[in-house]
Amino acid sequence: MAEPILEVKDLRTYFYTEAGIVKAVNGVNFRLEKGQSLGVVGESGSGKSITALSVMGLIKPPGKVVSGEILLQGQNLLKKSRKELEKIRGNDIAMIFQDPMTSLNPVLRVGEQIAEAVVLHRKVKRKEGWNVALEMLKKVGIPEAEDRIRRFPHEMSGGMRQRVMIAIALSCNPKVLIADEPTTALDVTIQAQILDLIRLLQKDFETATIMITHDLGVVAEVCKNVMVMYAGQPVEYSDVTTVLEQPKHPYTWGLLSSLPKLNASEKQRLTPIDGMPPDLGNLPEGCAFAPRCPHKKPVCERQEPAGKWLNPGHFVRCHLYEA
Amino acid sequence: MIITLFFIVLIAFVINFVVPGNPARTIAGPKASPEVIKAIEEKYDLNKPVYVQFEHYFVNLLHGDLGISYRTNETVNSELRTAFPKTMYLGFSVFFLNVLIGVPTGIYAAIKRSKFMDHVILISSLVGTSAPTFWIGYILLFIVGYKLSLLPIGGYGGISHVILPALTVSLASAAGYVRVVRTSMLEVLGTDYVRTAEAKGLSQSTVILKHAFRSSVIPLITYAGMDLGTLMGGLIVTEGIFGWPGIGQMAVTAINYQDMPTIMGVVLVAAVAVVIANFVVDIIYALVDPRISY
Repeated sequence: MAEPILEVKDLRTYFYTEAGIVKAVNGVNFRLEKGQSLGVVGESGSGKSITALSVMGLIKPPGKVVSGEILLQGQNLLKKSRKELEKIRGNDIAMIFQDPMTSLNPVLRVGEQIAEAVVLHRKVKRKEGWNVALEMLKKVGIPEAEDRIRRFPHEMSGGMRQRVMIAIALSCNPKVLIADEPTTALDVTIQAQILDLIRLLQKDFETATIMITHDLGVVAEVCKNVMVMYAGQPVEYSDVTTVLEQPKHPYTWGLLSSLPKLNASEKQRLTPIDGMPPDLGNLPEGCAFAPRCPHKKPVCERQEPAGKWLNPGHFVRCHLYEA
Repeated sequence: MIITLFFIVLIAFVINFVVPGNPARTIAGPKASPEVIKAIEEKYDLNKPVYVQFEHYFVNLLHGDLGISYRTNETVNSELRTAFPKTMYLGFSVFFLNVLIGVPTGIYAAIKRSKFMDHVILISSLVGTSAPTFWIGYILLFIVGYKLSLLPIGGYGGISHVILPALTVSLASAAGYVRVVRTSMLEVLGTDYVRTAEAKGLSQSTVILKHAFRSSVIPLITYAGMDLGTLMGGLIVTEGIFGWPGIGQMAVTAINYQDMPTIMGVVLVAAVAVVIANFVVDIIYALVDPRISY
């Protein structure tokens, strides 16, 4: 296997709240190679975004990364000082957030918001930063970029703003791009455009991408590998075709059967997954998915499944495959 | 704006007549004969109905004439011209101190939210607001002015004279700035765009000053505008303690003598100051926040 750009080992991020310890990320492992794209899927509250923020080093109290390693080209980010991290954030790892309406500063011109990252990381003059910003705006497909660069965020639509966010994220040519539900807040037509754009730029810039979403359709379009998360843990990991066509984990089955299919007969109904995601502050003993699992065995409620590589590219955490 | 001012003039004028006592008697002194009082009433039109007096006053006002002080026999215009710059001098000094002390402390408290220093700042600002001005004023006078003899204990003059009265007011009023800045900063620090700024790898100071503070200044501007307007209306207690000859003192003396034209003059200046401050605040809004336009 090629040398990974980013490798996350046994990452655990807990939130120390008054109600107790919330284990938002509870042992996440994955690796990402150059130019590769990984989809992270799961319900709301499954720890997807917290995983991303942990990688960015943006976890705030009462949250804390309690253990694990985040290796960016072999260097553990969790051992870096704040200053060192500031050099990496936005330069080597960049992030696009979910809601473009609130993710841009309302009182700064979009040009400035792109340029400041360039000025900071490439140590160039402000004017040069604005030139790069203009170039980036053109690259992300903003028409009349010369005019738009001097505008404020409220003068742009949601889709435009998300393009600006992408321009900010890619302006310093990062090695890793984390996109946290980049299309969730947009109209369907704009979603498709933004996804196309991300896919295109990912090829252009050879950026490794982590695409966080709860939309398996997005994953199928953009990603090479998929990690399915549940209650802060990966429950299944494989390439996208395997996950979509031969999923092994009961939770993935559930996710897939809750999606509409074009070729399905009219009578076929969508099957939701029964029950609610577990309270991360009070995880059940055994497998976290057991209370909702239609295939649970007595062992599932007693013992946590360790997880198993069914073949070198397919990981699943379920007692059905343990032995 | 003009309508506001008209009503202020009207209300202030009418209030003068609600107050018991006869200005003519005050002017003439306790031993004056009824004839003298009558003569004074005639001279100042005090025997005419209120609406006639108001009309008279208002027409003069439109000509820029605020009348003649009953007490000193000088024009109110000239008295204000002497006193108001002194109030402005003190007021701007206080304002400057307020911003200088209040804004950085507020930002700092927001960063240290719920930590030890945040509590220290909040408690001391509570003490500052609660302590009466005259108490702070006399304590400062006693320690700095009298015991240590570092600064003059009163009167009008240069920087050394203005420090103590300005500090007296500011110790109490900077606390308001601290709270306004802290609250609006906390609101902004939790927003997505501050996270975006952090995700770019910007340093903490850039994130806080360029991204968070700049977009949180609207409440601060509102507050500062109101504060400046109030300060221009004179600081009655502080001017009294430090013998600062501004319009605050002028107002106190005028009220004691039922010197109506002077009272009206001070009220009018204070009202105009507040109205202008509000107007300036509105303009500044549009300058700092691109989302606001008129």
